[in-house]
Amino acid sequence: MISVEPHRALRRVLLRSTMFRWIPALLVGAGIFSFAFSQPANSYWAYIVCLAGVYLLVVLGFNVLYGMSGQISLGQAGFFGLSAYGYAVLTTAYSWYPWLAVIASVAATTTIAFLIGLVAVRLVHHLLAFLTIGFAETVRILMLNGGPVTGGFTGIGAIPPLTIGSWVFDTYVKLLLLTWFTVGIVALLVRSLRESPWGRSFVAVRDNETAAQAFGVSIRKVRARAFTLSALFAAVGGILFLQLLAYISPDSITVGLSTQFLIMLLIGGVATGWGPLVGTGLIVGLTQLLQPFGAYQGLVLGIVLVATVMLFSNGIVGSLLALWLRIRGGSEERSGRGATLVKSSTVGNSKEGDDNAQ
Amino acid sequence: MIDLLRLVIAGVMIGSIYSLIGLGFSLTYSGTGLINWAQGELYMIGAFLAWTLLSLFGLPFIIALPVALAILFALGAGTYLGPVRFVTNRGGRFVEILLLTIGLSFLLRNGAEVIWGSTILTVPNIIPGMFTFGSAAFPRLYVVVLGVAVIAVISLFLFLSRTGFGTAMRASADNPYAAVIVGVPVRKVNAVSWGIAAAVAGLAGFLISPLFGALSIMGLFAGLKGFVAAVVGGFGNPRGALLGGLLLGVTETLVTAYVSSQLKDVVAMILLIIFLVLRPQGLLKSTAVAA
Amino acid sequence: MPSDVLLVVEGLRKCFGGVTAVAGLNFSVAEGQTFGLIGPNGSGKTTTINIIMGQIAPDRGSVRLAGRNLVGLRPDQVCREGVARTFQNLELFPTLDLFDHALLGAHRHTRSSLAEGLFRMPRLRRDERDSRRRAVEALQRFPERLTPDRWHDKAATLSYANRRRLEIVRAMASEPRLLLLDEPTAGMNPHERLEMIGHLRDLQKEGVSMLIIEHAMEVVRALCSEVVVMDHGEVIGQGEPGEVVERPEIVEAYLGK
Repeated sequence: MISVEPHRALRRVLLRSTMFRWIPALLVGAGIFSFAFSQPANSYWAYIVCLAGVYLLVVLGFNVLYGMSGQISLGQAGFFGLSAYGYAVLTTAYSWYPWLAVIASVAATTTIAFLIGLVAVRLVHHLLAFLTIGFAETVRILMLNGGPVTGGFTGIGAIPPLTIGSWVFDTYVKLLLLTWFTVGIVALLVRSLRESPWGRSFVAVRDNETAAQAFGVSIRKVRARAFTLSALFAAVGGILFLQLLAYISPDSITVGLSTQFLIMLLIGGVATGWGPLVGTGLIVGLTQLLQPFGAYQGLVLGIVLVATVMLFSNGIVGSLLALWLRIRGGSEERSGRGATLVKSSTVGNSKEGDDNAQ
Repeated sequence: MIDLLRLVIAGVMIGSIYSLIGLGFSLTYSGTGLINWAQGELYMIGAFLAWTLLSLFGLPFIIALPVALAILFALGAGTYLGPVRFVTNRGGRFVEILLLTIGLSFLLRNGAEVIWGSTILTVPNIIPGMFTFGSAAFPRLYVVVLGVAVIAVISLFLFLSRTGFGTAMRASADNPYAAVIVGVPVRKVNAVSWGIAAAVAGLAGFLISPLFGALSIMGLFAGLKGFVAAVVGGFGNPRGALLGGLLLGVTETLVTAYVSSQLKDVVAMILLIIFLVLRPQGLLKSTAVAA
Repeated sequence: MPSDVLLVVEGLRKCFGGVTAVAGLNFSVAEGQTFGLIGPNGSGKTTTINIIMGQIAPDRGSVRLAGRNLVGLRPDQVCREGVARTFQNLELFPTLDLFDHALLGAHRHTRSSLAEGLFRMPRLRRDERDSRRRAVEALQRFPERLTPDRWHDKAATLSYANRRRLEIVRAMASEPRLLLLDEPTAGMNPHERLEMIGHLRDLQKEGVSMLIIEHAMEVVRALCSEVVVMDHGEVIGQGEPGEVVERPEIVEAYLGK
């Protein structure tokens, strides 16, 4: 039967996960909460923090797609925007009940993502990347040329807000709370995913398709599901984005935005638990800081991306974790000096993150 | 009937631009197995170089063109020898380079806006006038670009298959380790293929700038369409890039005329999706396909 | 005692372009038997395993596992029928730790859906409990080598021999009906090889049916009750290892092995 030792090992892992997961999560939650109540209802900073939360939702989904299943997509903005437009059109032109519109838009967007995921099985990296760009651009162009229904380049405004009972989400602070509450839920779901058979099969497909298949993983199903899930989160983010801005236009579905999501994930740390939060916070902060400088904003972001790929491929969180691993030290084997196993391209060289927990 | 013919010819001419950009994609892919996402931005740089050299400095075309090509070549080769090799030496492969060049394209796009501003710049047309074909008239410039595209493809094809250097390029793409052992200067060869790819894309931008102007975001669409051209024709195949570009150009023109002008840019996307779904290897033989 | 026939390979044939990798292969593995597939390099042994596993489709022939034809099934489907394999060139998951490898080995027994995984529903909890049990049992096959405190180290930190053991752990975690081993002792020193033979003998005692590709004759002689010798895709001998190996044509094929 199972001896005592394995229990000890698992228990140690559980302690580590408490340290790295629950405590920081509670801190973040408390931070957001207290911040929210310190702000006047529609302050600029409430807007920014809420926006960060909205983007974080997309990036969390993108982490599932790229970090976990290794598929590059530069079209997350497409799912984001499509869902937002869906809600906008349904509630303004057809006077749908808001929550119904939410369900319909998110469902439609997710379905399209599923179809893309099915196609994605057969495509090598760059082909998939371009396909997703193609998708996002198609959405943008269709929205731009959708005539009176989609409002052309001015988009759609006067969006009916979401309500729960008599509570109307019409201030930045309220939206902030709603958004970050959603972030919390999504983060929990993603965490749960990682510790489930499906989640492991995502990572297995990223690491070694041949081996994954040999142990019962269906590559096609994994790819499709990863896309679907990432689009689901992006779609939810889109709805909240719409609530925040109170209007949507084709300008919100740009390749630039998709690239920003990529930068956020990369600099935070791909496939790490806290990477998305760190990366999103950093980039949103950076873009706000550089707002008055016009084109320099994009320039700096480009530099950040290049620098990240060249020097910080593990991202901030990834690098910190690698550092911690090395400090922990132990035997030579432990510190990772064994010959490299990596044959396919590395999504960062040594990543512990919460992948290791449990 | 004449109308249709005229549209097709116009499509072929605009398509030749896509072909040149797509040629760049295919070249780095077939030469080094990597993709330079910034091909579209290099096209854009070509246009800005045209403005800078012809308009700002007032250089004669005979001097401006080679200078521009040299700069573009240096940009391409430099990208390879610098950031790309830095990343590959660290163990990075295709995906990392893809991300790197995405970053570079972002950098170039915004950098161009910072340097040259965000309003469209006009470039003097050194080949003005129209070329009449029966009752149809096309800008002479278009014809020149088409000619250049065809010549570029043919000469590249010959270069790759007939010359020693071309063979070296193919060898280092096929099996870099073996090529090194045999004495092929793989690093130089790869740098050259990246340089040529950049020069070819930039050339397109340079030549067409009198008609399209120079704008920092022009590389975005152009790059995308160039990529579509390469995919449609068969990724990695130079003749495929030519065929794909012309096909895309013609389809675009026909759709614009017969369906709606607003859907012009969607055509490329739809073609891309159709080909990726139904025939990822493209029309002619390609080297890149499914997993 | 080996009784029923588990695996039947009939008339297997595969050509790659002009090269015939496998030409008319016939053999069968009985329940509980350890069967050897031997021959010089390039003789078609790994191709045969790839075909059984569904990674390559044969031009002709059939592969039946307990009567069910495996030809035409995808590798993940073949796995779910109860076949597990190790790889000649080590196909591990670079960023995953040992425990995850074992968990993935047990993957074929999981039944929960993606949604159940997200919301931690009962079926998921059951799956996780079962997978963890299988994983721990598999990892405990190598108690001194893969100690529990290393279970959460990444596979990339392992020594070569340990990686080979991890491959076996992963395969055994799937509790297969048939285990395909592709050169399990390749690159090992004599001491490690002896150890591995011991482990595989333990598997034998448990009644696991195995098909082993091996170059090291001591492994084959120690474990296999029957072998098939291949050369250039063709079968050039079949029978008891001790006897087969002595045959002159076999010796010739190996050139002095």
